[in-house]
Order: sequence, then structure tokens, then C-alpha cells
Amino acid sequence: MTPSRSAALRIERLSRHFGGHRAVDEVSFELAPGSLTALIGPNGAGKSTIFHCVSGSLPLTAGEIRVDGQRITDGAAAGRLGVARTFQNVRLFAELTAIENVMTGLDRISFWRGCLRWPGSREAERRGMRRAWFWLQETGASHLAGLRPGEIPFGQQRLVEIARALARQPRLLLLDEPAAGLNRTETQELAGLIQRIHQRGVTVLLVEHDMQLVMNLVKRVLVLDRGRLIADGSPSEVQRDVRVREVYLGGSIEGAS
Amino acid sequence: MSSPGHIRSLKPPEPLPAWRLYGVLIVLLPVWVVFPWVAAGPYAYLLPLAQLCGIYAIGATGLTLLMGFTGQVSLGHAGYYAVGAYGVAVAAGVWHWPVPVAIGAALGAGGALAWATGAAILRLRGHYLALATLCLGVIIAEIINRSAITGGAAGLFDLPEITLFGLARGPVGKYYLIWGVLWLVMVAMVHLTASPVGRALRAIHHDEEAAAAVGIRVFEVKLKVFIGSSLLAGVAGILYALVYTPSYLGPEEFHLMLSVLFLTMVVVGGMSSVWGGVVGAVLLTSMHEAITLAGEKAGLTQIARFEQLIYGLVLVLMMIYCPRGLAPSLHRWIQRRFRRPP
Repeated sequence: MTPSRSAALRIERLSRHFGGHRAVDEVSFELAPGSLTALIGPNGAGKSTIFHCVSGSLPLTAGEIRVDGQRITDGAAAGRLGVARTFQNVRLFAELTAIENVMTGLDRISFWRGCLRWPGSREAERRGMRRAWFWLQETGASHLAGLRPGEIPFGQQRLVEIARALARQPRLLLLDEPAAGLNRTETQELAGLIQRIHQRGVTVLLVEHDMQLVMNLVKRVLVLDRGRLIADGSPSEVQRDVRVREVYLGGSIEGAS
Repeated sequence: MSSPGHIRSLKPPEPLPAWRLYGVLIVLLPVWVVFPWVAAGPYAYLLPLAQLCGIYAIGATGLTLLMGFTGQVSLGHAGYYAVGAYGVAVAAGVWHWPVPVAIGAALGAGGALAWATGAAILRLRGHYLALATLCLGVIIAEIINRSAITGGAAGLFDLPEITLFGLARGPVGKYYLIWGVLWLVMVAMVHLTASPVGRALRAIHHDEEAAAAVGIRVFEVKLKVFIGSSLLAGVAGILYALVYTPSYLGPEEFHLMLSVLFLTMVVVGGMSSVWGGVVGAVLLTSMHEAITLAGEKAGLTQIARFEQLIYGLVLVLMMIYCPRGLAPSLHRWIQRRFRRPP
């Protein structure tokens, strides 16, 4: 791989070990700005571990991760560099309504200003609500604004979580199995939403088990197996790759073709 | 996904109206102001009781912020309460510093201690954090018990009266001082919990990793809340020292059970409510008086012997029938009672 200065995400010889288990082992790849890429592999391949490392919530055993040329050292650095993510299992804040969940992605927190409530606080809150409302509308979840996660169907919780990530106006968006638990119609609508996000110029890295969604949506697929990158190419190239076919035992990959 | 992204529907919600934020504060203000007139004559014993309720309410409110909103358990708040009380008693009573300077020094010492201990222990979670704070409380109590400057186990005797600019000398003045401070604390609590900080605290309480993923500096926020919460315990301790001088300040008030009492107040009052600490503090502090009074009215003069039994029974019943605490239950009851049908 030739290192590129302009890469939105550059992962170089990334390793993350848990004791003797090599969850990710010397993985390197780059994402071009504004690209839409899928990261696939069987369970335990290391996809979510890579997401945890890129979002700064998991320290690296070795290697480095750069976003727009700047190194990710922790979660705060990832946030500053415009990395936002969703989780494999939807992780909305249970005590907050959908719009409040989205507002957490927008808030600028000042502890002492919070105690004193300056004259412009209410107006700032109103502006925050309108911006959060905008992102809920973008994901088609504005009708859920006043509901708490426990009152929202699972598929729509995912939309709220994506809205929360988008509210941060990310340059790099990590979507961790967004179609898990969705029915076919919901998955098709999700594909449309991901396309719209991509068209905004956001670099999207998608982890997904739904091969039909992946193969129809992205132009580049990275395949992981047991912590190592085994293939990198277009959907058709990846489907023809012998090692990938071995990993998937001719199952899901063929199902998509 | 019944509503696709391109459809614009409904209106964005509006922030809470001011009356929803300040309603309880405004309703309670006249009650607090006129209380000393009610607590006169045969009811004069209510005034010192109200003073203690107010002091504990400030400490419990600090713990509500830490535990109820941020999800960080502390079993060491009696330690920070003691630092406030001894800080002002030693600085003003023993070293004869001006009282405002002594108060500043006590708050500074409490804040610095909270910063140092919080930075060390707040990476722990759940039971481990509870155990660490419990140990901190025990260490502070032990230092007070063995230090010459605090009078050791015997405590500090013959302290001069400590007053703030000569104000708040009598019981009524002290009542107004304590409940005035509590009112200001509650104004700040209402503001804080309705602000983006409040959302961040609830986010951290529910899921620290997800909170970090939306850009919340989790450790920094937890540390600030821990310092703020410990400072409120320190303020309660300072007020305790101001009220109980000139007489005696001894270590028996600041034992582990006081931390447990603060915790019980927060749980009984309602962890998720801004008012939980106040409700819990008033209820538990006045329960002793209420049991004695009820016993006297019923002609049961020996009821004091069963006070702890009744106290425990009431707590168990409350946990069964109001598991989320009294303040949220009361809030829900009022909502059901007065909400207009759609």
C-alpha cells in the first residue's frame, strides 16, 4: 500500500491483541475522502475491534491510525478529527428522548455556565433542538423526537442512533452492522439513507453481514478473517476471490450475486 | 422507518417553559420564608430540626448529582462534609482567621481533596468505586480521630461563635442562612440538570462508551461532578460548623453511617430527581421527631424504644412501594392527577 497524504483514514500495521488472542493482526488500508467502503468478515474477524480502535475507545497494541493525516490517540482525538460511529447493538441513552439523544452529539458542555444559566441559554437550547430535529428529519425519525428509546421500535432506534452520529457532522462515519435486526423494507430504506450520507461527502466505513446490502451499496469491500485483511477490491472482485469464498463457504457471498 | 427522510412533518419541540423549570422553586420559596413563624411557641423544636434537614439536604443534593445523574456511587461523602466542618472550625475558631477567609479555605481544601482523590479513583466503576470512596471516608474519619489539630477523638471544645459578618446569629437567622444556601443550590441544580451538562451526565450514567463516542469528555465531566458534589458536602459541613458553634465539634458526627445516611436519603428521595436529595433528607431527618410525636399523641410513651425498628420498616415499605423514590413517585402522581385528557 502506498501511503497517501490525502487519505480520510489511514490504518497502518494495526494490531490489537487480547492476551494471546490476536483480534486484529497487522491490518493496513486507506480510505479516500468521501468514499463508501464495506468491511466484512465472519463473526470474530476483528471488524468491531477495528471500529473501537478508530473511534479511540480501545488502545492499539501496535501500528497507527490517522484521520486526515492526524494520529488518533484516544476518543477525544477521534472526536476532534470528526470521527463518529454507531454500535453493533444500538446504544441510545435510555433516560433521554430521541431528540435529546441527538442533541448530545451537538452539545458544547460548560459545567459552570450550566449552573448559572446565562441569558442566552434558552435560545441556545432552542437552536440545538432545531438542529437535532433537522438530523432526525434527515434520517426519517423526526416523528420519534419526544419518545424514549424504550418506546421506539428497534429498527427506528437505529435511525435515531445514526442521526446522533450525523449531528456531530462527521468527516468519517463508522456504521457497525446498521441493518442487523431490520426487515427487508427497512434495510432498503437504510440503504437509501447511507447513500444520502455518502452524497453529502462523508467518508463512510460500513461493517455489515447483509451481503446483498453491501454488494449493492458500495464500490469497495475489505474482507477480514481472524484479524487479518484477506481481500480488498470491488464487490465483484471480492466475490471471485478464492480465499473469501473459502471463508464464507460459498454461503452469503454467493447469495448476493 | 415509516417516515422517509425527505418528508418534513410536525414542528420541532420547544425547550421547557420557565414555569416548568422554576415552578417548584417559586412555590417553595414563600413556604421556606414563613416557616419560622409557624415554628414558634410549642413548635419551636421544629426550627433546629429544619436547620439539620437543610444541612443534610445540601449534602444529599450533591450526592444526587453524583449518583442519580452521573451514576457514580460514593460512600465517602461524610469525609468531605467533615473537611468542610473542621476546615472552618479550625481556621476561624482555632486560628482566628476571618470567617469568609476560613470558609474559602475550607472549600479550597475540600475541592483540592476532591480533585486529588477523584482523579485517582474515578476510573474505577460500580462496586470498586463504591469501595474506594468508602475507604476514603474511613481514612478521613481516622485522620480526624487521630490528629491534634482536630482535637482527636475528644473533638474541639470552647470554640468561639463563628458568624458570617455578624449575621445569622439566632436560630431564625441560622435557619434563613441554611435554607437560603439550599435554595441557591437548588437553583443551580435545576439549571445544571436542564442544560447540556445534565444531558451529558445522564448519558454517562447510562453508557460511558457511547457518551465518549458522541464527544463527551467522560472522565473530565465525572471529575467536575465529583468535585462539585464533594464541595456541596463541604458546604453542608461548613453550615453544620456555623450552626453548632459555640459549643463543640466532635468526630462522632462524621462516621461511616453518615455517608450511608446521605446515600439512603438520595435513594429514598429518588435518585433520578433533582429534588430527591431534599425530599429524602427532610423525610429521614424528621422521621425521628414524627415517630416520637405520633407515639405521644397515641399515648405510646415507650415508642422511642422501637424507633429504629419503625424507621427500618418504613424504609423497607418505601422501597417496595416507591422503588424509584418519593420525588419521582410524587411527580408521576401529580402528572396523572392534573394532566388534561388529550
